[in-house]
Amino acid sequence: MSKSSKYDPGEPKTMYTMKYLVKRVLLYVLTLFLAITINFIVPRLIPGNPIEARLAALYRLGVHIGGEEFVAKYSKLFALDQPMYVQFFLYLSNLIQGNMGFSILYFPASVMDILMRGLPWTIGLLSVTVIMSFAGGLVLGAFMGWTNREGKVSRWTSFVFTIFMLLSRFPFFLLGMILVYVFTYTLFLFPYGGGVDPQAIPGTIEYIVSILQHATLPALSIVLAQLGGWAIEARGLMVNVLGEDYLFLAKAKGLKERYIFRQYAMKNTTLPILTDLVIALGSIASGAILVEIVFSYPGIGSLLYMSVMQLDYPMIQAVSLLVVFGVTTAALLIDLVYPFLDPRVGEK
Amino acid sequence: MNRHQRLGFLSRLKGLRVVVENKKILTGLCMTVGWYIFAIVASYLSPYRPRTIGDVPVNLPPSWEHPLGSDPLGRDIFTQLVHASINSMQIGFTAGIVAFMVATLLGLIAGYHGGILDSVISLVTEIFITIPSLAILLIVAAVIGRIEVITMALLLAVFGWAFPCKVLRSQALILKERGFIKLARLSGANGLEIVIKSILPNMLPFLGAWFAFVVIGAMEAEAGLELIGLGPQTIVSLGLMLNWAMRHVAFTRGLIHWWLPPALVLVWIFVGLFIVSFGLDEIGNPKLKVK
Repeated sequence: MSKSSKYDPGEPKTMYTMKYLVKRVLLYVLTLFLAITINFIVPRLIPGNPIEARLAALYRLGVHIGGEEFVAKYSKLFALDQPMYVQFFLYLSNLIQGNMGFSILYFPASVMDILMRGLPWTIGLLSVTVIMSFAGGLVLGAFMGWTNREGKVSRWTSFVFTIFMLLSRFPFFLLGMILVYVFTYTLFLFPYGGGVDPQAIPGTIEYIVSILQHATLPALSIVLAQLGGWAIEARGLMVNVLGEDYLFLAKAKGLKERYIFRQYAMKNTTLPILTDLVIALGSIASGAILVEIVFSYPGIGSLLYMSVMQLDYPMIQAVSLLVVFGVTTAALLIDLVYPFLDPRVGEK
Repeated sequence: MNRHQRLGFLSRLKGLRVVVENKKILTGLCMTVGWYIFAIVASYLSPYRPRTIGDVPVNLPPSWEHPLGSDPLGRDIFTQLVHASINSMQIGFTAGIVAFMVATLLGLIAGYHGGILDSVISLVTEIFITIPSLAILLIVAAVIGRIEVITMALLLAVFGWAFPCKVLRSQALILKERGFIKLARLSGANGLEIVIKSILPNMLPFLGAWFAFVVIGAMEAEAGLELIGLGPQTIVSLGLMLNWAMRHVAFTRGLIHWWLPPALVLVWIFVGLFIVSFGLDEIGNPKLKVK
């Protein structure tokens, strides 16, 4: 960025206008609010005390947990005997304090405690895979678009393109299943289930190796499935950029190919695709949750699966809110950084 | 038919020919529709029932009698597969059609009409795009418990319309400023007429491509929900088959004839639809073509 400002002396640019900032933050708040409201209303649509209804459902399945004490504690925490609006404000204020009630399954433990156990695994898996696949796909796709700019498409490019197209249509979890079958069941190359060998001692080299071994396949299934999508998109954008006049001018100026690729073509390919990353975050997170379930990776996804199996409704709700919160916050952050990368956005 | 009308008719036919001549669209359609027809025929021919426990002997390996064997509860897996394909595709397409109609309507209104209506629609669209749909879907599905097929399709539609709506809006905005639309407005056509006669036909390849994406999205969300164990349990779907396989740890027991077919069918349908949308995209934007 400092490089680009070298070429336009004059007054420093204001990166955001107030309008952009307010609009974006407003969107964030509204989205969160909608998600929270849905989370609040849906269980209360069923007549009667929502917690008793849940417990009754469990009881029919033959699970006896908590009982009187649980209902009493829950009713007190969420003021279930008060009018709706009181309940709602209490719900909000509890949420702000990070209090989402108790898990039915692990009763004395709060939902938040249990979530915190899974969260590091999920965040680790997600952040690494998103960055790897996004950066990798972007470079690959842009390069593919760049190399066939004179209308020559090598057979190699076509082949890679077809593979990418196929892979990008695989839901992450399907790819995960295939990877488990090939690498765990057939080749015995990677361990299956869990995030780390329970016998490994934390802090040792073996512990880290074990973590990496357990994470390889889940990560690979997310990266492989995503790489293709980003590559295809980057290629499309690159092809569009190649038709632009400024590229023609750059060539006419006698700039080196490599420089044109990096400074002109790549930059203008990256910027629009970054906004698509914001949009894709939600589905990537959802996909990662399903991958965790397939691999019984100890993150949020596996917690969710257990909760669904056991009808642990407070846990399901907490996972839902956590995912919404994580995704919308990440999206907000990218959108707030974006005007620094592309000054045209904030100015409008 | 005067000369002008005839020309219009011919050009429309030509448009159809472009679609059929595009190898991608044809391949994709054959893949998707072909499998659907095959599944329907097979579901009538199969003597077994997809959900009846103990219908056939348990844990059979693949054979001529049972091409994909049977599961530990004594159900013929091939019969399950074809029934599941039909159900999953029907849920996906129902959700897709509903979501797509909403998206087209709102997108065109927002893009063409503009003003306060546009601001409101855009804001709602943005909210629905930002919200991770699976998170909300699983809350609703978990509470409803015994969810019906049509409820499921509508729920999927609620989270499927937003993104195409945004894209259609921006397309309408671009088209609005084109010369021929301005000309139509000057010649006294009203808004509805312009949208239906001039804007929609110009967006057709684009609309088709997005429809395919919406269906893929809905089917993927459905499969994901079923995999977790949420969703209509009264019918068998591809996601539910995977869930059953997962509960019986089929992946690490090497029961490849059980879990791989539903997985491959899902991918087959997705790839088919994707190729269609890709071909349509090429018609709309010829620069993208890889020769």
